[in-house]
Amino acid sequence: MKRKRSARRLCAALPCLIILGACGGSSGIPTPAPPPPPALASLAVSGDANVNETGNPKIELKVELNAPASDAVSVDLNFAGTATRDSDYAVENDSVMISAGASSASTEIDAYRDFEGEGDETIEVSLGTITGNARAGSTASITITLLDGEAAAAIKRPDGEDEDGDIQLDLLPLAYTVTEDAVQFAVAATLFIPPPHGAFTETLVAEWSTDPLFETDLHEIGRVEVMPTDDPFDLFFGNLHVFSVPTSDLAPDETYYLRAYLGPPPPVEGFGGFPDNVFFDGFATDSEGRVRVRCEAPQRSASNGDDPLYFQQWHLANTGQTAFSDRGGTFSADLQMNSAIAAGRGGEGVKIAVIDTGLETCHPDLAANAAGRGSHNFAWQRLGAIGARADEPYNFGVLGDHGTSVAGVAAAAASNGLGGRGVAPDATLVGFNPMEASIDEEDGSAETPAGNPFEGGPILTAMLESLGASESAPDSASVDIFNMSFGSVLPGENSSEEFERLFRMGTGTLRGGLGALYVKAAGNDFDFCRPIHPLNAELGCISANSDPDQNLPWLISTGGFNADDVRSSYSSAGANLWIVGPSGEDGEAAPSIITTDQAGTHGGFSEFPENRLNSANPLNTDGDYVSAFGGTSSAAPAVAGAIAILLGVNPDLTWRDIKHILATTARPIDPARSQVRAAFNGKPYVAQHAWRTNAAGYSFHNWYGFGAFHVDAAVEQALSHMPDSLGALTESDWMEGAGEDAEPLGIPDADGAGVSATLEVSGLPDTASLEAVVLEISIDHPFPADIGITLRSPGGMESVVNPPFNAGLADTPAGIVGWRLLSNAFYGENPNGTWTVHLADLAAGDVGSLGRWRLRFYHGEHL
Amino acid sequence: MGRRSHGNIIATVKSSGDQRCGIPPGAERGPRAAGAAGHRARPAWRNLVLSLLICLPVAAQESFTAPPGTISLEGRALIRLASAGDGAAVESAGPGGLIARSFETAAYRIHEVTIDGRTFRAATPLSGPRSRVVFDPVKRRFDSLLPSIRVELDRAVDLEAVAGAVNAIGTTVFESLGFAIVHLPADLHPADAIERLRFLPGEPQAAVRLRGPKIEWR
Repeated sequence: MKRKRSARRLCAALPCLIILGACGGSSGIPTPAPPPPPALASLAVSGDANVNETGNPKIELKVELNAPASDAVSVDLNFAGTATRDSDYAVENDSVMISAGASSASTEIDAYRDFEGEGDETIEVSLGTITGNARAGSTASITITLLDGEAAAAIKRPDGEDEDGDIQLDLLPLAYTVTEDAVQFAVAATLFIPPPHGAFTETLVAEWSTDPLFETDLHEIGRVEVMPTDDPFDLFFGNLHVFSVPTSDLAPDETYYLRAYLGPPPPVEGFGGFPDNVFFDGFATDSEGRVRVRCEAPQRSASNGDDPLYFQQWHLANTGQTAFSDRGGTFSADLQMNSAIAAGRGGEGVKIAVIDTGLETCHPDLAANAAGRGSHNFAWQRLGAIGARADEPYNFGVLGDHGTSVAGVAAAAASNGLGGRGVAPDATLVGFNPMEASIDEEDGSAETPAGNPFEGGPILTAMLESLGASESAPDSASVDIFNMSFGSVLPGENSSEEFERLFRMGTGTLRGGLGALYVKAAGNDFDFCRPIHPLNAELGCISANSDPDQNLPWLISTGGFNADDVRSSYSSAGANLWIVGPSGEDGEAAPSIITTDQAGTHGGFSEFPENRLNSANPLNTDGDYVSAFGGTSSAAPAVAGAIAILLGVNPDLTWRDIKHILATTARPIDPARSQVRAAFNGKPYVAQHAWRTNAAGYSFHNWYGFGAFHVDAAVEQALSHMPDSLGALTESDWMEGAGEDAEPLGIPDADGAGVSATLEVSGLPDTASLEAVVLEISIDHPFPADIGITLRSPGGMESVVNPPFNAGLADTPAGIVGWRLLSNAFYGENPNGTWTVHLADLAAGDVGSLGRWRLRFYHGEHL
Repeated sequence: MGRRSHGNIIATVKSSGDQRCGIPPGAERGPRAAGAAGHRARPAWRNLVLSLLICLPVAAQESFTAPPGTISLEGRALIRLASAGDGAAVESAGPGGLIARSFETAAYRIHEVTIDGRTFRAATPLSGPRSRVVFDPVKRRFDSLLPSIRVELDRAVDLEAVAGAVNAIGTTVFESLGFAIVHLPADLHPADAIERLRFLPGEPQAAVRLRGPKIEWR
């Protein structure tokens, strides 16, 4: 077209003669070039035309010309086949435009993963109307095959319901203690059998031995017949049995092992084996034949030399070492603290409290940091008469002391020629064992009937005392960092008023107003449940937000990563995570954490069969260390120790400064991790996002929070961090999305589209920077585990605050009332604007509705 | 801060804590303290067995009559259920048509709460602190009360008078948290203890305490 117009213009501009001579007449004027032949259009896909729907494949569909287009070419596309458009897949564009000079254009087919048993399906694409100088070529149609993925439906069996009605034996260890006269343990032996009951009974046997394998020196303590029942009350109350071993005839310097079992003797699994339905524990005696209830420093030849196990501690410096497991990990998958170690940054002057089962203050690798530093033994008043000390939270059991191992991760001594080293080897360690608190019939006690000798103590009160609310016995108010390698799971519930006040106080007033740090293990529930749906394998079993305390903004919820730099297989995920620390795997197939163990070869984790670093290993002949310590219990003290390094570098940092530095410097590991998406009722639903960057530039993932702790980067920032650069922390009022009287909003059943509700937030400072958002929500639904809950910010960030198929919600038939869910994913964003809460019910059979919901914002003003 | 007095101390408990009725902590799960220390998982119904409150939705049974009672806690209205001394069989009516029944068997007290056509059941010991339970009609769940109360320190509260009024066996004062925990004798219901405080000068503010969830090492 353009060429013709030019020719006419040329003719009009010339004199007539010239026109006659040069332009006029049929023979004297040049003939325009004939149009090029039409190009031939063909269809093609990038890659294989057979795609597995499980990977949510994005298929690039191309229209190709056999020659560059002389002019722009538009090609319509037709879609047919057995797959249903907008249910099995979506198409980006129904036509493509090929620019002049180009020879191809493409559009995208988004194939949905679903859990329908549809068989393989096809998408038949054909060329439709072609506009421009092109026509269909030989490949005018193409077939894409969607290979069917796993078919599954949610399993809505109540959490507590067993699949079969067979006889089930169970032995519940309830208590283990020592008194002046005896070592006692309580078990509840139960046989569940549905009626009609036969004559079936089972024998409960209790024994002691000095042989941990119980192959020699076997002594029976007692034996009772247990009757079967289907009565839940009898299951609990009817079969409690207490066994006692008198302490009057114990030999000196001996280790005694106790066990109880139902039926025939259990198979020998080695020391520390935990076969089903066996109670197993032990105790040691001192040189006078008394039960050892206090720390007695073992003889070890410490020196100023290197720590012989350091080279295997991958979490400090990952060189690919095996850490005594079958294989090594990935170079540099660690705390990234080479510079800190080289510079001797060890958390000097910082006090870490280990709230746990105990702390062996005289351990050769802990004593330098722990002995005489202010630990407290809550069992002292009970055990003081038999030698326990008030400042030694000594664990008299011999099957490992969780707290001693946790403490070693945080702050075992360095360069003493013994074992390995802690993350902060110069920090002060104190141990508090609140679970050992005890007065008559108080809170948190064991589940035993009244009047038995194992009535528990005021554990909740002791927890408050251990976590900063006490200035003496214990002195927790002087603690800088609290390590909390414990938790509870109570989905749908919130923290108690007392603990809310505790953490507010601790972050508000401790450390001279700078605020103490509360580091909490996120949980080990990712792969630890009876799955409701196959997606549990990707989303986890129970969300970390299901711990009532972990939906509070004052904690640092810590997940775990392994030596391959990805999430530890068990580490709970959730929007409430802040960071991940090293925790490893099982120590056999892949590295776990090497840390301190109860000293000596008479007991401890070191002698467990799954622990490769046992006393047969020349690096652990004294049995003081373990190579198979794992769980987020080990990630938390690693983070606590790393924070101690930061506080050692800059003691003026507030608790929020620390959290800010962590969020800013963390490593976003596992960067290629895909989102988890599947279609329900043909509507795609994102159940877990890939790494996603919010409007303030912070990247977040529910598996990792802001990422893995990068100590050296954090130290650099700690050194240069400006005081008061975050502004004052403000807690907003609750802002109602839907009030108590609002009409319930129905949630479509088994439909990924779900339902959304919005809240317009205004009036908060334009300079406000979010530090946490809490959603409080009520959902009326008989099986709330069907429901995924996502929060979207005005900045466009999305956060799955409760993943669908959260197994913890499998037995909440009354629905959810006022559940608070924390998200850290919006850190740094401004809260003003439209917030959206989205709920999707992904399993058929139960319907429900969204009731009251509201948001609370915690914000500062970040410079 | 942190002052405390102890009562008669008998023993410690290694496996302690509670779970609330009807909220099992998850199927086939148990504590994973550490790789080497990992305990075996147990079926969740066994965890239910661990609970002192054992709850089952059941058909409504025979009923009796008695006055109702509610306990206020942090904005929640909890239905006080009968315990030792309230009679062998009682029935009370609560808000929203709620009916609470309680009767004793040889070994337990059975609690039944019917609301909106559904009946929930729990069993507790006949007496002692663990016999004291409440029902939350909103969450539709039983909760167990601790044998202690939380007394606010935001007024010029006379803790000695409080302790005297309830025959406290100990008091733990948390000045930094603004409250004290007053440990009650075994024969005093926490709601009755709070009622007694109403007659003290200044009417000290107090609240019942619910048992927390079971703690596990991770």
